[in-house]
Amino acid sequence: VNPAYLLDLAYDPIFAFGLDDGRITLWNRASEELYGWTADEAIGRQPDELLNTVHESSRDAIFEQLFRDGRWQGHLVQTRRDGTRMMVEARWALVADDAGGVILEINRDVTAAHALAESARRLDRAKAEFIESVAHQLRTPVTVINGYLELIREGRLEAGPAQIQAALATISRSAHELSDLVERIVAAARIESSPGDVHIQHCNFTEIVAAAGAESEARAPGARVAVTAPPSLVVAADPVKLRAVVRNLLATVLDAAADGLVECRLEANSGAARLTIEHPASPGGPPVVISDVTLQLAAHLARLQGAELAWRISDGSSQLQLAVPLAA
Amino acid sequence: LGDYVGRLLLVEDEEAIARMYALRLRQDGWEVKVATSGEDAIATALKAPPDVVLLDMMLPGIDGIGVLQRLRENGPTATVPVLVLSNSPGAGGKLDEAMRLGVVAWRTKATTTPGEVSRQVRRYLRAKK
Repeated sequence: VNPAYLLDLAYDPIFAFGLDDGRITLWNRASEELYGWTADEAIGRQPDELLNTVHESSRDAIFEQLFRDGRWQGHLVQTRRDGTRMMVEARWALVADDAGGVILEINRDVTAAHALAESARRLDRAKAEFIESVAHQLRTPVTVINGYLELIREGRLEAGPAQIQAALATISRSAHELSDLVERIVAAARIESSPGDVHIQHCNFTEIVAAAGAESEARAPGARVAVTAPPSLVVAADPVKLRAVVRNLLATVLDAAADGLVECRLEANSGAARLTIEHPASPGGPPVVISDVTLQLAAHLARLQGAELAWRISDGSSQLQLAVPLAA
Repeated sequence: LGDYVGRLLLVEDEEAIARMYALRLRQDGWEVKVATSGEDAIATALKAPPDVVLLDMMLPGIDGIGVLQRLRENGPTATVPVLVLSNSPGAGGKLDEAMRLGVVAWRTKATTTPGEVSRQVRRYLRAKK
């Protein structure tokens, strides 16, 4: 049986190139399928030039190992005939012969696996940053509670009720802040653990914003949510969860807006419906305080349904922008 | 109030925490100045170098590491002892960087109290004499 025929039966791309001139001498069927070049077109060319190969380590280091061990294994970035780039796991073997020897290269396309691993690494990094931020936010009220309890326990506050009452009010505020943070984290964890519950469908974003605005006004006496939006803007999202996200964002900004006025502007731009929720700056007004963890949780919930949240907080104003993909 | 112990610069942007620490530390005899941003901390320290700086890491403007660097670069504050009081986990290399810049200790605010910090700084200054 012709050895070249046997190599054509292999599922993995296999080719060989001369040690002296670096030119391809063998190119199996799987190589034709993966790279798009026929054996006739590939044979005689140099693989690095044909496949626009990028080595993860220097060629000198690869050849040093090849000559020392007879083998080399690693990752290469190569380009198909149609111009698409891919990552391959490559195994090279040095085969000595009378003509000076050849290098046998057996490759496996690992582009998808590599992208998946990279995405998992990015997710891990994002989670680590998120946990760090949550830990910081949780520790702040704990610090206040511990410190004031120590002052009370050691009788460091003035005997009169005013200072004790003020300390108790601070402790109570911190405890509420703590439990609110915990509830938000639990809610986020619950949604994340059941991603199957997200039902993406076409829904009218204008109606969702109007409903969430009316609901927020009803919940916060004196609050006013001014909405500017086209009559209809159809997006691809889970309507129930999108309404919850908008409601949470409105509640967050309303909490921070001392005058209770929030402006919402909805418009279509670059393939997305963009909702801007803004508390306009009031000269001399109190600073806007929105905790990072609140926004990060809202951003996390938005991402679960393909939306993106961005924010800009300054001393006098806050602006959140939620971008939701328009329905195709 | 306790007997005069020394001058502290408390760098803390959380108002409730700053108020609580200042109250307790003053009761223990410390002269306390409070800075609520990195820039404020640097200016206050350079104007009148304290005996010890209690430094938060996450600050508006220049962060804790930036403050430490500036203090170390200036003669009058180059050797002022700095104790980090932070609720940041110290990850991301900040703990290593702070140690490299010669901080006395890194304490997590949530797991300590103003009284403990006051006693620790007092012990540190006593041992230093």
